[in-house]
Amino acid sequence: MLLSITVLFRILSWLKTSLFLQDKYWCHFYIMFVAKSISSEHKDIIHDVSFDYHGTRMATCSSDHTVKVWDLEKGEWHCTASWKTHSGSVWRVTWAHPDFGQVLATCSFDRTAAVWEELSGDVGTKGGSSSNTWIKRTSLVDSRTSVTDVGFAPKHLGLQLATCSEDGIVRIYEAVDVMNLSNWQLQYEFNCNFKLSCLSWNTSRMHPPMIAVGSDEPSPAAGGKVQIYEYSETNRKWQKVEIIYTVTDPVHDVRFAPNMGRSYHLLAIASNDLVILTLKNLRKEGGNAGGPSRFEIRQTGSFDDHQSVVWRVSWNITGTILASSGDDGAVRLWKANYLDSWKCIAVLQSETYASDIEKTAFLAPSIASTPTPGSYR
Amino acid sequence: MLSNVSKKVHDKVSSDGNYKSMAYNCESPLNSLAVNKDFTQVVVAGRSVFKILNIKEDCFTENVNLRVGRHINLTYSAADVAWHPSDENVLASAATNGCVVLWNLCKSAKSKQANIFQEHKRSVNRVAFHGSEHNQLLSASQDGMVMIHDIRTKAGPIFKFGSLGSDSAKDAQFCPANSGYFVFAAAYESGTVQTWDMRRPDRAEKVFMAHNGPIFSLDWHSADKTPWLATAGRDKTIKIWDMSRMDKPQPPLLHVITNIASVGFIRWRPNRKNHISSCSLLLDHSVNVWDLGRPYIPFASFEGHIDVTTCIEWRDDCHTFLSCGRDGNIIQHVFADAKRPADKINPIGVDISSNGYIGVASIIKKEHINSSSGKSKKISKSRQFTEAHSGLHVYSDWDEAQKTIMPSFEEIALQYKLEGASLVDMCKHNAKIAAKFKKSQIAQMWNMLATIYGPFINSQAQQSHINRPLGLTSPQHEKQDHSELAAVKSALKRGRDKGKNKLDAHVDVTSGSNDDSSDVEGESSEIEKNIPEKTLEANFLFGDGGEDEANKDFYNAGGILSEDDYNWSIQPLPSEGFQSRHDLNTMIGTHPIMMESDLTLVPMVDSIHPHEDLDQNCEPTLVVKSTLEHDAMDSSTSVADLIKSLAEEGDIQTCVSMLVVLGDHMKALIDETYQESWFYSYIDLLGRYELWTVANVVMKQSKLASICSLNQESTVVHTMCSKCSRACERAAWLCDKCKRVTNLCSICHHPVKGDMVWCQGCCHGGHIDHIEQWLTFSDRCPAGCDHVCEFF
Repeated sequence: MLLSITVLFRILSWLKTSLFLQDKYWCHFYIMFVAKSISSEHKDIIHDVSFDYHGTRMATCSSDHTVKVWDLEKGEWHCTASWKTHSGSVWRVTWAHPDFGQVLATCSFDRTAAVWEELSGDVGTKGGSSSNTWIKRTSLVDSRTSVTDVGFAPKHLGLQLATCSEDGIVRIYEAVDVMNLSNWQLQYEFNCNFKLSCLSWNTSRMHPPMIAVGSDEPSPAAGGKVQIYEYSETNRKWQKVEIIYTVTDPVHDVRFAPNMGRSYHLLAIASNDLVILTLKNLRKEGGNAGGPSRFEIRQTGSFDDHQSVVWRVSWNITGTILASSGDDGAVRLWKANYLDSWKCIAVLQSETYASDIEKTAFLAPSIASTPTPGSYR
Repeated sequence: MLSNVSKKVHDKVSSDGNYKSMAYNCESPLNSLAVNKDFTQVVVAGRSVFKILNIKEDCFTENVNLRVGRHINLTYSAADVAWHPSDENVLASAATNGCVVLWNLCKSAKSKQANIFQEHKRSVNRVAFHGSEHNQLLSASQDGMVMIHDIRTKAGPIFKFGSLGSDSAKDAQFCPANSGYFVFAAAYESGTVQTWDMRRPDRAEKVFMAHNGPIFSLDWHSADKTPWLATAGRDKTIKIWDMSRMDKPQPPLLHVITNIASVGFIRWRPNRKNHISSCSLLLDHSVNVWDLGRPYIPFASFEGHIDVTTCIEWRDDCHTFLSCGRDGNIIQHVFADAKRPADKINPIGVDISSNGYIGVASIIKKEHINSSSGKSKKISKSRQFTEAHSGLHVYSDWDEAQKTIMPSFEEIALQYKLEGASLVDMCKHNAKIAAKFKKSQIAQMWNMLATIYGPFINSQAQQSHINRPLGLTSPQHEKQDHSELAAVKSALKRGRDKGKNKLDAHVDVTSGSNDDSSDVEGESSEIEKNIPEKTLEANFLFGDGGEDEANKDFYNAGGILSEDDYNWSIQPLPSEGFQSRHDLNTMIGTHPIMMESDLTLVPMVDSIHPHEDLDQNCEPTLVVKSTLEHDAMDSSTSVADLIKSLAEEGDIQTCVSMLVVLGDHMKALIDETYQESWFYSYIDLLGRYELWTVANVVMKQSKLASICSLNQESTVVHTMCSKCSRACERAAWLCDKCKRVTNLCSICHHPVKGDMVWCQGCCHGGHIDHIEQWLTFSDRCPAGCDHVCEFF
């Protein structure tokens, strides 16, 4: 009997190594994706796409000041609402946890962030032609410069909303009464002393609330472009716990992977390269009291596959697959193998691009009515 | 090929910079500026500044200070200033006390004021010279009047337009000579624009509502064939009107540009048909140049002012302009130094949804167009700017079954067995499920667990048992399992009715049908299933003994009901919805049959509860057990390691499923905060897929108090009496005040104590199965109210 147990352990350890084999195999798979092209009817560039909690609704925001909401019905995405949200480019749109209702937050070049709620009651109307009504619940006007990112806190922290603005200030608002979305109080405000472009909440329950911010300041002299802040229960304020000195290029996006009970944190950074960091808490967990957390930071990966600026990163819900989008127009999917080394598993390139060129060719004569390009300059 | 496309939007700017960006501080807020015709001098004016500066190659130098003289009064400060188009020495300024002041720089006296027209009653907002008739000066005032003066005479205005005190005129500009020699347009505080023929002062040619709120600025397009008028106001918009059709009352609106704040001043960029520059009255201190083709993002943006910019004046070469602001600065901006906001914006957004869709919105870059000759021609950068738009794509896996982003999460979650069978059976079942979804590693792990925790001696028997077609507990035959269970249940009920001990009855029923020793585990699981059933029935009101009292009182008083009237077994509550009150697992150990017949089960139970006094009861097995116990513990630590590593890899599904299946085996070996966090994460994931039932099973089977209690929060449903609108306190279906049963079933006329369904329209309803039955033959309300009911 003892023998059989030892054999079992051998198999157990073999299992762990065999994961490696599978992952290697993974990379040889050609993963096929189907692109469903949607006519967005946005009149300018779309800056952000965001899926809701269940993945059945999608919101897009554009420079044309509007936000559109798309619902998945029988495998097709239908635009169910489109409305003017701001008087400037809308940089980001994000969904709140559905426990708080159908709630969106947007931030814009017009120096405001706004919280929107869908009016329930219209749900019964079928046919899709009637567009749902979204109501502006609040407009957060504290910023004096463009608000570049907005993010809801993980649900266990209640209904909190963080915004960051170009003048380097992160503001954290809270709807004290979750039933009243019109009343948001500015709870915390801290200055990061550099132009901010993005922020991300850490979703871990085991660690104190944590936010990473990134800066797209062009000069490399400004030092580390990603900072990590943590809420200190004892001091009742947010304090800087870490600066990522290795990233000195402008950062366009940072995203913590959904924690999923990992003991460490995964942070994806979209800069000139795609950077994936692993942050290990050095202190034992549960020790919330005392000083700020210290991390052992390891750069798990740095990839220049896009061969251009990386604009956005997005994790899947378990934090096992990362999508990055670059200036080359491609989206790359990344996955780690058992050795924690990340590999590109798929490249998504808009297939309709080629046909678009042909369309343009067809359209060219009609465009010719506008003045010759030279006179535009 | 798309790669490495620079998004830069270049304006063709001569790089051999004749002009430089430069600034001069006048130390006092500036309202307006004007340049002479050869752009060598600039006059700047404000409340306490009025001076002429020389425009040198790399700096401004002060030339003349006009704010000198014996009596400095309001005429020495200006809201607006204009330079004579041909005579270098003549200036006009608009004073806030209603004066239009003419200045002659040739005057030998210290004060250069040549003439003052005092016809306006309130402050003058704008002065402008006619483009060809250089002696005609237009002035627009707050008092509502627009006047044309002849600067050669000292007399009053030659023409007056509008009526006094009606509507403040904020701006007025002559139409360029080529589109309307005698025409000018005036903008008013009410948001109207009026065009006048200067030969006909009696009535306006055209009056139309242009803006919602005051208009602060207007400007005629100077190019030929584009009789466009731009207006801007407090409603944050710049609007471009086509003024060519003089016959139409409302000219066609060509473009709207929305700013982030009220627009204070606009000027067309010379030599560029579609470019217009603007500055805001608040918030935004920069000067923006817009392209009409893309009204959302400024083509170029010029920073430098630290307060509101008030006035813009372009040099004719269109690459340089001057601006002045409230901060007292006059700045020469050069296009080469402009910020191009469109270069800095994110062109490609991406997000992954919880069910594996990837949404991508990316800019469509048109590098080349194929002209008719087939040659590809590069699209000009400014066309790239104006035609920028995004394509929106949602990617999903080619093969629906192969889910790259979240491989088979949902199906696995649904098919995993987390309760209701023995540990080994669950492991084997889950291994099969994992294998089915091509997760061979995970399947192996499950099999491993089954072997580690399974009985070693008759693992062979176990195997055969699993494959037995009619096995009581074999997972593949859940249906049979259920039907047998139902039989057991009814037997149980019968037993209870006879007043027997229910446990005994149960043992009778089950042990009668089983003699295979390996089935004991399955049997025990039945006990698990059935006991909660019973406890639930007893506490059907989910309350304490007090409510049962109320129950009894009611039966006695009303005498309507007896327990047999309603067949409880028709309506079994799903057991997974509730946590049973007692830790039923301990029952396994005390079960007499188990103690005696199954030796192998003992170690695995006891290894975790070694302190329990069961040990004494099982003397004969102790020898065997002690060795097994040790090994089980050992393997447990490495299983714990396995589970931990699964969590670190992000496979929370397998991790939590194993935790649930292994139950108490893992409890002590893994830090509870981690376990808690894993459970929360997995429950959250299940929530994303709306797998509430699975989430409930996970909660129920969790050994952590904080997780177990999750599905017991906010479970109270408060009811109100439909008659007196008071909360029913004692029982959900009895109003203390009215002494009345509140929610009777419309069909059986008995109070509904469990699941009730009612029509939202007429509020009638009843027992869910009664209504269901009713609906099979009628869609009308069972209460007879003739409502066509809709039950959800």
